[in-house]
Amino acid sequence: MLALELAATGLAFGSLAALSGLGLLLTYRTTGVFNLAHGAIAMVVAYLFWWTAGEHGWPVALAAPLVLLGAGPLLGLLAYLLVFRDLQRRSAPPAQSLVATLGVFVLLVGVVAVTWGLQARHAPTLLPTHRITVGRAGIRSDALVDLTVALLALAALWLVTTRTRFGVEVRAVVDDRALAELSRVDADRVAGVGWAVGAAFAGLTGVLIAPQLSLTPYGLTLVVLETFAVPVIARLRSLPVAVGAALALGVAQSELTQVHLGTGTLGSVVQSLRSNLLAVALLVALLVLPRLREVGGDAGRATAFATRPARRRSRARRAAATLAALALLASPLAYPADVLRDAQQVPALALVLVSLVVLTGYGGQISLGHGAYAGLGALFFATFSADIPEIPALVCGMVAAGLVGLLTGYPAIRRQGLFLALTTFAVGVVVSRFVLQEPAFTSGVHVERPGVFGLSLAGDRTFYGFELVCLALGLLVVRNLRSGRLGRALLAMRDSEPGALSVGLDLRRLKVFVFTVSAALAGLGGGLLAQATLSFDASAFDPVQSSLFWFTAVVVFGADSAAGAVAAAGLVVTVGILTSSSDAALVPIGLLALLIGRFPGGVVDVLRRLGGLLRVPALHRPVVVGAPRRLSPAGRALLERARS
Amino acid sequence: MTVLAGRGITRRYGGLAAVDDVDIEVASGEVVALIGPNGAGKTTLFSCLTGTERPDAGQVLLDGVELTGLSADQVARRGVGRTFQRLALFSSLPVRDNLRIGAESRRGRYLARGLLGLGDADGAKQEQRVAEVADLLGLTDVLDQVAGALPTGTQRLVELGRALCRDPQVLLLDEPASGLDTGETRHLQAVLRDLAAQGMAVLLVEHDLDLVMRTADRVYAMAAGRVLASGTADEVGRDPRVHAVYLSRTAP
Repeated sequence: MLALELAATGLAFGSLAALSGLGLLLTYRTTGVFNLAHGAIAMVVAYLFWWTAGEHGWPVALAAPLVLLGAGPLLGLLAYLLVFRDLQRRSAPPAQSLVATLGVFVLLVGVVAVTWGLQARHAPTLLPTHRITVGRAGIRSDALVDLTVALLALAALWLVTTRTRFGVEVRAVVDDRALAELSRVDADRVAGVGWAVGAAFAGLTGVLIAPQLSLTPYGLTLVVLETFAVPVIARLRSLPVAVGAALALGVAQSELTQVHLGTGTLGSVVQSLRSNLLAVALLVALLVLPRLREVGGDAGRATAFATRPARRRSRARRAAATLAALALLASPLAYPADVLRDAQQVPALALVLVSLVVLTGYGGQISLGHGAYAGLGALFFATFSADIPEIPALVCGMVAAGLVGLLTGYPAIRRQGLFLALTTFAVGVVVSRFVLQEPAFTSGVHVERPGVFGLSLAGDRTFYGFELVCLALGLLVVRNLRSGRLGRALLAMRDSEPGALSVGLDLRRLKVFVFTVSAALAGLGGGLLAQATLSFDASAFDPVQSSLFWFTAVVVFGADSAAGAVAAAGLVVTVGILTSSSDAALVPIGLLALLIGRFPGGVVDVLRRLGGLLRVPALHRPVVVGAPRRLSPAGRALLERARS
Repeated sequence: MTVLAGRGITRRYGGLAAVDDVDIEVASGEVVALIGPNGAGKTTLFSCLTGTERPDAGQVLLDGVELTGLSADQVARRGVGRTFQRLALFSSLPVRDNLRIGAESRRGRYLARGLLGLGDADGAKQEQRVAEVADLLGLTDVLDQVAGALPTGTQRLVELGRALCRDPQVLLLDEPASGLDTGETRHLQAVLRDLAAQGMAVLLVEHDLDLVMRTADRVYAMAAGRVLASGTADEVGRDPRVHAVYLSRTAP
């Protein structure tokens, strides 16, 4: 009977995953945007329900419709009207939409964290929970409610998409927006409905799932994000497959509690697997499923927010800018001790962010899992430093993180755009859950600051200096990556993969290479981050708090600007110090990310253009085309021959 | 002497044979054109020849050495240069870098060297190659402009230049004249003839029949995945079957 009870629990969880997956699929099919903010919307709606029905004691009959039918759809509609409609009308590249969804995500998480704090809340249940006895098995009523809601949602969606004119319009818009509009389909309406209903589903998922977990800004969001597995298994297409997969995963997860393999490593792996089955399923699906295709054909390339043409500045200006940056970076040395201690995170975080510049800005690859490399760098460092001195341990940790990057870079050979983003996200979640949060690896690790030749660098000022040296070395590597033949090859890969292949560049090697170097840099940054805080804190490398936020911050400041990444690190830490809240920086970064369609070059690019306005504009030089007036002798001879 | 040869190339998509048992040859010193209505399979054949797609049957030979099944970058390194119908430039880089990448993309230990900041091994030689090619194509004046900001016609020439910088044995051009004005087309025609005179093998897909008739030594006409007719430009131009499926529609 236990198996049956477990199956019922599993079905309930599976139903929630199905509901979330259906919402994601719906938005994706109607707008071509994979809504990474889905989890955040679920979390916000769950918080609103807690705030009204729990905190202020409103009757559920009032709060539930208000939140589920009002707030949820409204959030989706607002996201569409304020951000995504504009992107869609301008046929913005998918990569920009992806970053914009990250902006919504970061903003919502930031607002909730700042408003209601990080402490766990007890969310009220939508319906009172009873225990229903069937034979000798007891089934909780909310399990049945979840299942019924999911199946009803599926049926409704299925009917609408296959049997109504609206469904035909949806498919027309997905196929070719311009063509659909010519046939008098109101594409804006279709997309708006897609966003509103998708967000409503997210909200429903959040409210139903929150009572079963403790409600926290990051925790609930991540649980919902793991349901990405559901639409991916359905190949972002089939609604019934999504529901079937979700229910199967739910039951499997639940039945895994029956498996006991002792308390050894295997036992603890099974235990981790049980609580992270969705994340593992997401990763496996992305690694093995053949022919995953995005709506609208071409995968989005990162190049869309990294098209800053190389422009030469005068030597004097560059020297001035470098000096100013150095002065700013060194200034914490003069700060009071407590501020200096916080500021120690700047160089470490800067290294991590710069590693993303290398990968995304230069190489054109997306990574939503960089927290894993930073976390592994920190953990490897902490583990190695038990046996060897700190500086060699730091280097070993960096190399080890690089090796993991080498392994996890392989999926990039086959996957691009959205699916690469999801794969890296899954890697980040799996590493975080199975390694960084696994007591077998992390218990008893101890972080010390290094010394050189018997000279201790443990003092706050000396350690900050050591960090700056590491950052300088990292930036030197980054400069090498940007210049010469290697730099050209990376930028070529970013700008056009077919073009790069046509000149014989081995992109497989190049991709794995850039993942390795980037992971190593991130690992170095992670090791320093652990030393700065004198502890290994797994939550600092949590996929939601680190990876997604870091990627957004880097793109917002200018994906291909190392200086921008350093500035971003400075801003994030400074906002944290000023507001004494580590989450406050999410709000400005999220807001800026919403504008990515307008400023694909990021903050750095905007500043540069403003600087350009102040200078006297150079005379516009007409572009000389194919057969120029001033031909070279060889060209003139050719032209003569052609004319004769 | 035959440089590039496709024998019995077949490529199916589901039930449809986009390219069906096609034989094609390009010899050094000749310009060969591939014509046919949209959907005839020209671009798919191109993809099979350049390793972008793997043919379901048949062989691709370069100087008698089998290329079938190699990836696009391997095919390129063996000496097959190509351009694209939908431009595939490195659009954020200056024209100079576009050409330079073409010139230097041979195998080499550039990853480790680059990471350590050691300079490029034979930079001067490649600079010179870039200058030569830019001179030949009339791109010298735009070398420092960002490729993506140039007019389409110029971008096509940059793509051609990028392929030329590698000194390929055979050049495959996918609609090189689309987007070019009359003067630019003339110039392109002269460049192609000149390349052939220097012994280059050139295969082009082209809709501009004027250009084809003036430039090509031989023409293959394709329809529905098969080669309908082949021969000199005049022979193919006079072939009634070719007229029926193609010429009559575009040139009434």
